[in-house]
Amino acid sequence: MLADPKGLLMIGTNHRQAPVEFRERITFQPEEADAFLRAARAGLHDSDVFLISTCNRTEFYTVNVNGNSLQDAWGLLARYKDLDPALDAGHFYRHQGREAVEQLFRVATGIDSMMLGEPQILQQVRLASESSIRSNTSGVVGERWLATAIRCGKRARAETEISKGAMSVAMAAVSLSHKIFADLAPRTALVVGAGETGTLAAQNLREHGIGRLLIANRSLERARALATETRGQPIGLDQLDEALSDADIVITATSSPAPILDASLVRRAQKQRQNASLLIVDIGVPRDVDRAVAYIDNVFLHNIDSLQAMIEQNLLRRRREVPKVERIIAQEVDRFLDWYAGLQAAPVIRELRESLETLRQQEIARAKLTPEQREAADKVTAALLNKILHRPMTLLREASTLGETGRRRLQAIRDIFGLEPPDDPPRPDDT
Amino acid sequence: MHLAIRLLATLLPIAYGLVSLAYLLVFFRDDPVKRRLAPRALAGTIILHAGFIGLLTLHFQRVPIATSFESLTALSLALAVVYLVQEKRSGTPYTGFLFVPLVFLCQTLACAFIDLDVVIERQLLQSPVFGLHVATALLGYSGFAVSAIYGLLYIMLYRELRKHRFGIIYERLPSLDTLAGMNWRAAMFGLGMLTLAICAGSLMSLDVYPHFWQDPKVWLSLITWFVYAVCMYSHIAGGWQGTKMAYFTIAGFVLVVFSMLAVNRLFRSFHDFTL
Repeated sequence: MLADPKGLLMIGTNHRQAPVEFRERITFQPEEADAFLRAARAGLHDSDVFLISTCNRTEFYTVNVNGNSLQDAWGLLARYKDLDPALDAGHFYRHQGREAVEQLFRVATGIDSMMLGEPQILQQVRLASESSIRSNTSGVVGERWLATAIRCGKRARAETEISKGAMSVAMAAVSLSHKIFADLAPRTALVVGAGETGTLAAQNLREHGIGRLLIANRSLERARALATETRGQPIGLDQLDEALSDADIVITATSSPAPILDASLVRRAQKQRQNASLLIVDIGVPRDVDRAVAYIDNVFLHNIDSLQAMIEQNLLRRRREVPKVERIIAQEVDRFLDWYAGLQAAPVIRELRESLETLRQQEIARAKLTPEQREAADKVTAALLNKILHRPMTLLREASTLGETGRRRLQAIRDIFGLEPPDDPPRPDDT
Repeated sequence: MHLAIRLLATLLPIAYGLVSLAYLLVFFRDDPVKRRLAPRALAGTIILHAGFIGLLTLHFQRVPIATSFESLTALSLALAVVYLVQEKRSGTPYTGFLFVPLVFLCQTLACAFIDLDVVIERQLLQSPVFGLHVATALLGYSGFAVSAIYGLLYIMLYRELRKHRFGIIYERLPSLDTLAGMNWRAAMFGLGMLTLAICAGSLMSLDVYPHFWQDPKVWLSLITWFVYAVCMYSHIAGGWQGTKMAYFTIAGFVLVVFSMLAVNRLFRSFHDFTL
């Protein structure tokens, strides 16, 4: 039957279902995804199709209106990616109807992601929508499905704390900076160490609008390279003393076996800075900053352990938000399925009106009337028809939201008025 | 009018109680609906409160600050107004959980004990300069109270950051910079208002109380003004900031409250209009 929720299908794999080697094999690059979608639409008799493909998941969604099944969708994917049906089928999950809708919404909200609540996945869903529009493979249902998923993802982020709090060491350091300084633009940051961690820290600070960035490193050449990349200012370790009195934020990430910042150095700097707040984040192992620095007034010394504690706390809070997100998903799934069920009523409404209108016009044409009488009869019968149809139309519109009862009501109206059973897929103007 | 005053005296504590609950929920649960509603509800309650004081003025035919409880309701209103202005400026509703319950407590006490039958015949209480003196003094002390509470919040967040604790205080409170700014601005506002109050009071008292400078409350106000002025100067010129400013504004306000209570108990003052 038209617009049966069972026609909403999905097949996919993710980080829980398959190892990384397998996920790599079936990941789609953007252009490849467009080509696959075009082939899939043709292979599935013009059904709406779309695809979400990230490093952690590949999910293929389709709206079946022409008797396609999950098996057809799987066969298509398997052929395209050269998968072994016997060996690889176990790496996939399959959902149909409400569960398929729910799966896309769970993905969009980030509660199905490897890093709970990660914000990038919503962008991936947007890309999936753009890809299906670009390759012209998604009709009114597919587009509505994706648009509702995007709205669901936005609501989850706005109404809950599912995406709040830093989840990486570099972001945790930036979060600490924001908790001390209202605005990073007038502030100076000093990054000591131009290795991988130092680079990440410098990039994050630059992205979050730090005013001035000093990069100190044993090798001035590496400091220069990172400074060029992050629009910073390179300095040698011998200038640390001077740089420290300019800095509001210090991030150290060196592999030095002994501390490079001791309490007397920081005390001297604080005196010059009139004891203003100073954040020091020591990401080095072994530690770069003498622990006595933590006792100096208005100095906030954090290390890798405290940043990890922050990340764990954020994860715990995100987990507590999952039930709230699930409630939002349930609301959006209901809303989408109500709309989808409404597609059943639209053709009946159109056919009923068209059939009675034809009958009305035939009867007027058959009658022997003067032009004035014809005009009057046209007006009277049109008004009468509207009055007669008012109640059945109301019942038809209600039927969209009544599930099985609604379907029975539609059938009854078809029988009473002698309408033909439907054979067309829903059209955009039916909505 | 009596009935309307009684009705508002019952309604106001209930309204402040509900607004306090909303601000507590905003802080502890970060409810987005309450986050939007709480400041609006507070603004509505402030309008009711201003109406209440207006009715009291009409009822008594004078500025209603003659008794402690009349002053307390005016102080509650001033505190609520100063807080709401600060909230609008900073854009964060998460600090209301400390302020609004304080207003609720003060207003509940005021409404429970206010005496509508007290008769005080003083020409002075009807003077507009007196109204200005009272209003600015109340706003000034409210500014000091708000400053002290922001100082307290600063210390709370400072300690959490130093102890590597990332709980609800870390999550909800604005940055140390923001809290320090609020702490400073509220103290400056308090000092400005107190300056105006002292000027208006002096101007008015020249004829009525020629020996006004012998009054203990006048001395207390001058000492308070001097202490806060030194603090503000130290901040601007001497680099007093962070915890030093926060502790100072807390200690300053505690000192003001205790010395006010002591002066009221131990000395006679022309500021007591029930005598």
